[in-house]
Amino acid sequence: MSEIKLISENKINIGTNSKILLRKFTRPSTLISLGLLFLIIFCALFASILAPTNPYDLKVVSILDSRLSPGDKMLNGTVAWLGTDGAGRDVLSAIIFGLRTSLVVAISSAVIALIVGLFVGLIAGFYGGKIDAFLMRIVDIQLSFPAILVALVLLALLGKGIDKVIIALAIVQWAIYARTVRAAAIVERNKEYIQAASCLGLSNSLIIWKHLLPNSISPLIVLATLQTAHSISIEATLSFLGVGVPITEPSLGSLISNGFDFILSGAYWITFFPGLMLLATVAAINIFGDQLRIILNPRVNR
Amino acid sequence: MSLIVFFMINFVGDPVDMLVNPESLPEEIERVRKDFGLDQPAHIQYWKFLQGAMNGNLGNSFIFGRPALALIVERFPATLELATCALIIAIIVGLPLGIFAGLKPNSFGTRIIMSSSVLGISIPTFWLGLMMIIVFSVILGWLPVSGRGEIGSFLGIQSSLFTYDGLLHLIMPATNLALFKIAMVIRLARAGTEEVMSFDFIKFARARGLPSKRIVRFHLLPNILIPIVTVLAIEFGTLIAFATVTETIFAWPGLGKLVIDAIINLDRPIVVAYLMFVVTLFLILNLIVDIMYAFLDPRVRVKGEDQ
Amino acid sequence: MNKSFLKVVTFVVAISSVIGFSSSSVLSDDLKVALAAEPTSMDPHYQNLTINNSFATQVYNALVLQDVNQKLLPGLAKSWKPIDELTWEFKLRPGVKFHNGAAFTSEDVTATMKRAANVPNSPSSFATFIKGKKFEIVDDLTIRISTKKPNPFIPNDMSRIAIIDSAFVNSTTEDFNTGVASFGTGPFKFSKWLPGDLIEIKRNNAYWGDKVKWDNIIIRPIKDGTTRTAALISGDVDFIERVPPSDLPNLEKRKGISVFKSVSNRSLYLTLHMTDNPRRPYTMDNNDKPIASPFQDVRMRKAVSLAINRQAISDRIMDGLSSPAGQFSPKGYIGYSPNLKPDVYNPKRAKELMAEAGYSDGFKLTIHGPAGRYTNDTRILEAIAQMLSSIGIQTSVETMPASVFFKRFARGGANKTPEFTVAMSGYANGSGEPSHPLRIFIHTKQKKRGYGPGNRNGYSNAEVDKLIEDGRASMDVSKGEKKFIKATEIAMREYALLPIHHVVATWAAREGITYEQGALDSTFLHFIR
Repeated sequence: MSEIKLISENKINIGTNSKILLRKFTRPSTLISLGLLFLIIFCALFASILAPTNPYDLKVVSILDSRLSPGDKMLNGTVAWLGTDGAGRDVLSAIIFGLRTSLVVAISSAVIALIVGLFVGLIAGFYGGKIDAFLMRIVDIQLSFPAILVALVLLALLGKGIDKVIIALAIVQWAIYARTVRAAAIVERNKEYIQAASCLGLSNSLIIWKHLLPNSISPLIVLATLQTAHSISIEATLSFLGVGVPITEPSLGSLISNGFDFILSGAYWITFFPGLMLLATVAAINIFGDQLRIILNPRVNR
Repeated sequence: MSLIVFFMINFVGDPVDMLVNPESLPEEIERVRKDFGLDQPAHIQYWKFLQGAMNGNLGNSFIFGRPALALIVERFPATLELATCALIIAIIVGLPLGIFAGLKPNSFGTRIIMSSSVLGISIPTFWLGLMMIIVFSVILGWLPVSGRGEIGSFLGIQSSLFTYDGLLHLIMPATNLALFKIAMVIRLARAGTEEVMSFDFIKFARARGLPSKRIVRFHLLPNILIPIVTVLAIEFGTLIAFATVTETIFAWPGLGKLVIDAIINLDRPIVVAYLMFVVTLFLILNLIVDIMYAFLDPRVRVKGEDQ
Repeated sequence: MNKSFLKVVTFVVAISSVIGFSSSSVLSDDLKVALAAEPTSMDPHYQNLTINNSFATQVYNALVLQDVNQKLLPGLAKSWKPIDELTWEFKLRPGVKFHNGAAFTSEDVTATMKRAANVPNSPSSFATFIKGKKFEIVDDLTIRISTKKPNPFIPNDMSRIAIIDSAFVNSTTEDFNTGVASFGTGPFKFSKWLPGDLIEIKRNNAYWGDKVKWDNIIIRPIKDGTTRTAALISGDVDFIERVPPSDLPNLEKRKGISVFKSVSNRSLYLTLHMTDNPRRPYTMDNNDKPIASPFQDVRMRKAVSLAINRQAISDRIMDGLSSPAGQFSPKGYIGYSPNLKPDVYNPKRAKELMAEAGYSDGFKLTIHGPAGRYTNDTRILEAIAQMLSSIGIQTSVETMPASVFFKRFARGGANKTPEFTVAMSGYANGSGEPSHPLRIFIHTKQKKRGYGPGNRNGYSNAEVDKLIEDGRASMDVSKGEKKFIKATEIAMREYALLPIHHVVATWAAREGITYEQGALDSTFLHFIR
């Protein structure tokens, strides 16, 4: 939450000196994280082409293949380079598909939460007064419940399914965006050009849409990046606690938690490789988000 | 929120079907439902709940048959203990590292600290907890796996902090829970240090030729500590919430385990009481922080006025 | 003080485990046990729940005891017999004392029955075993129990109720939790309960039966199986129950650890919906149009049974810790029929049967089950989905927490009827009487008479119903059992339910400790030696 405050307090201007921008984008850590990110997204997009087998197709998966060590051959002759899990899924394929599931969940929940948060935040920030107080009270209440708990309760009630995980994660996230947008919108609202637009008789919705929105959006980009990483983690944790995606379509998180049952028996690969992938994904997004914040934030310039 | 949770739990499941033994006679099942008040329409149930809540009675747990609030209060010390230790670990480890990173932004050490702090934020708590059990308990056999250990008492306070066995049990879960916060303290401390070091009074102190140890201790530390402490105080609430995960892994007999079981078993009185408990805690923490902040840092008042 | 002594012990244990001594040098007769679940209360009459009941047997006795195979043994009653069609007479054991020193007499029995049937807020009451019976004191050590209809199972019912001292007939559940009222006649005395953390019990030196080996037992609930195993390996505890199947091979190889296994009477089964009234929404044709349940046709039920590779489930998912089942009772257990063998995997025949029944193109099906209720439940469901998919039934799986599952399983559908077309659930006979599963799952549903409360797929066969009812009215238990076995054979051949396997119960302990195992999968601490 601290990061959010930092962002919202700082005024952000994309049009900083482009030379500095370029220099920062070519820093090795940025490049590596960016590269990794592209690779991850590429894998997720072309999962069905890249993966050796389809781990979600129950006609193909067989428990007779279960718990093969890395490099063993499955019944249909495919080599399971990273072994197979307890249900007989090829771990490599399951990671690629699971990555897609995790990303889909994280990104769509971020987008939904962002849209809702943007809407609420802009209205609160623009109109102020009672509307602001009312909306922000809801936001405060929402934020006072720890995200992981709310998501847990919601999912225990909603049941399993990717759509339900997305809904639950969107519900726990929208308030964070709303608060950030509101802070940015308040700063913008008091600026002269908005007041001028208002004097010119432009309608409120037009002012919000044409002026307030574009100028409030940059802190959101950074926030959304970091929140995406966060949601991947939360989704994994929820799967670990036994709610979340259906068992026949595991995400990275559920792969890890299923695999943990086998770790004492020596089948480390079921939980280790997905764990590594999860770590790499979240770390890549986090580093990228960090860099983005530094780039977009003139105050940290040195 | 209590309303939403109340109605949704009602809608989704009925704990009676799970609790009641299938060999029971049908009139027994009806009797249980009546005892729990589940035979009435949801809005009447809710009204009764509100009436009870006014008198400080949040209902009896369906599963344990005891007041939900009493169960929560009973388990709270264990969670509090865990969260407090995690917080202390976070500060002890995070603060020096963060200050170092802030003082020497371009050194190799800083690089390592900062990249491990990114890793710290990125590793899911549960995965790290599992790995810790494997390494420290199963392979090395150094630390106990689960439970709270022996409880000692000191000045009338019961806590496992006062026994050797208790401390041994506490190390892993507290470290596990602390990890995320360590990364956070590092970042806060670094940002604070960078900011404060650029202020004139530090430059002045340097110009006076004060040793850097002294500058850090008397000029830097008090200034960066205020925001860190306030943020951590607010984060204490999330720490207690996140303890649910850690407690599940390490079988720590705290609130988290209670509430996860309650959620899974749809033990509505406990879930509702827990949510209300956490919110109250959160509000109190916020209040304390606000008061503290205004007291410690006069700038806040000025800042508050220009909005 | 006692506490400082404990401190020394735990310190020494901690040190020795750090240095890596084998713990075979037993320090004292203290035992630390990790169980998978925790009793919901220390009140033996609060909830009729397996874990509560098995814990209650440590501190309390019933009139009749059950051995590990649920054979009835004399308990606080040293003998019992029917004196006419409607009355049983129980002779009580003389000279038994409660932990608080009070003598045990027939007064305690009637007081217990009064309390056990009326515990406020009980989520699952013992009234089922008490209602409809009249308890009559003949003398200090004789009790008569009479019913309106012949009931051969009164001794079974009496084995379910823990006898308390009549002084505590009005005590609350809270009094039992705190230990104010928890005085039984059992092999252990209750010492303390810290909910979620531990239960401590001490040996009862005045116990009327075989004395137990341990001075003190500390019981810790550790829900997560892997954590439980890790606690044993690291020397944290001495004894655990329910070793996760995947950890077992490794534990068996490990030095200094002994493993105990036995086929339990806990079975896992599938129910297939057999009527079209009302239609349940989980079967669809290949164009996603809802269809009536194909399982009204016995050939389709058989096809499913033949498509399930029970041996593979046992080998690959349960690591050998299950035994393929064709009926409720495991071999050697009451009500077992030697004529019923588990179906052998035969996907070819399954496809033929589907074609004969007119489903050669297959259809779509959703199967349901609870998550985390039974060992490997979700994984077994997933495997069944794989197997059904491979014979052309496109199957998807939906799992949910037990509390949600059981509501929908019982009455989630239209007009509060059961919801699922195909669901997986589990069953273990707690009473030790052979008609128990038949009455609950197989008999036509007749709510008022207490028949078929668990019959959720609409199975109904008049011949089977009659066999069950006749058997239950016969005071000659062995004659009754023959009727029950006959009923079981008819029902299982019609696939009234599809048994999948019996779970093999497991325990593990550090070397030197033994455990006597039988058909029950719960843990009885007095059997640990």
